[in-house]
Amino acid sequence: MIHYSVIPAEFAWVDPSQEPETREVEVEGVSMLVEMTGSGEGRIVRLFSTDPRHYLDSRYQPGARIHVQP
Amino acid sequence: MNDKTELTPQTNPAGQPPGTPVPGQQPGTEPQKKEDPKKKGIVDAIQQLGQTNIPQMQSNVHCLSVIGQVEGHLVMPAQNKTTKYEHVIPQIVAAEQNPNIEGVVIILNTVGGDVEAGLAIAEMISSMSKPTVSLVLGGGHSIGVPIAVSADMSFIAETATMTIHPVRLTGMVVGVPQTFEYMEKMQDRVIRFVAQHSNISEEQFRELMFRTGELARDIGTNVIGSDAVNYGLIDRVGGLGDALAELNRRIELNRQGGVVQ
Repeated sequence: MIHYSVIPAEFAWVDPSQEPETREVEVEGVSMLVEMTGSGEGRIVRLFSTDPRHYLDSRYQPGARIHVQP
Repeated sequence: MNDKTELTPQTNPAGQPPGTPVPGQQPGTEPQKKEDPKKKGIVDAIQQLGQTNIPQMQSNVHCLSVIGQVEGHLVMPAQNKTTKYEHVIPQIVAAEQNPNIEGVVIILNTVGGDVEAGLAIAEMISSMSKPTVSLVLGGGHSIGVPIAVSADMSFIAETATMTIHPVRLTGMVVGVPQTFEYMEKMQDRVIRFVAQHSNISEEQFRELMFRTGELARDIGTNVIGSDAVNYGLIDRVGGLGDALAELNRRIELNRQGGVVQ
């Protein structure tokens, strides 16, 4: 693989020991990355959607709690 | 109010909490009791539908943000903020396919990443039939350069930078001359793509890529805002307003069936 980046590979490819469990989910048509805080519940890390209107929805702001199908 | 009730016949028109007596109706009377199961159903429906907290306007422009590392075949460690190939490619396909989407704005703040994934995204954007405009904010480095130039019109913020440097091979390398040839081919793919999709020549781009004395720890050049425009790499210096105005102009031309150039 060829990595073309300004971040040196030795920094980019170091694996941290602790990382929170995250999941990619889709809620009501909005795809997002969710950090799981419990079973069926999580906190939104970021949205993947390209629709600008999803970013105005107060329910999907980063940090908001959301119910996820377990 | 009447319009709204007509549009959403399922919701409680008066917007009252469950159990509140309806005006003109005596509480505790026979009809009230009779209506109870129906009322419960309405409340359930409201809970399931959730609250409408913003006007549901349809946006004819979609925004594709390329941030952090461009991730390809290998999943990068969690401390990297990544833009994943498997997210972006279907998003571009969806944008091309959806008749409600008339244009795409690509926002870049990337440090680079996988060559194959980056070139794939760039090729997908450049082959879209709908108007596309890219905007480099902060940084559009390394493999971000071909992605930035792949749009119909590219913008760079006054303060944004783009680092152009040679392609490097990471990981275990077989120490044979063929490895070097392969790498050169990969590099040529990037150079050729950038030259074909912007106003910079292959020679000029190569010169920027191999220039010494500009970067402290590397070979290459860091072009800032208007420098990128002067080299012909990016079309214009501008911000979000300029980028969206240009995109809307192209959408309008596209609607009229005119040739967008």
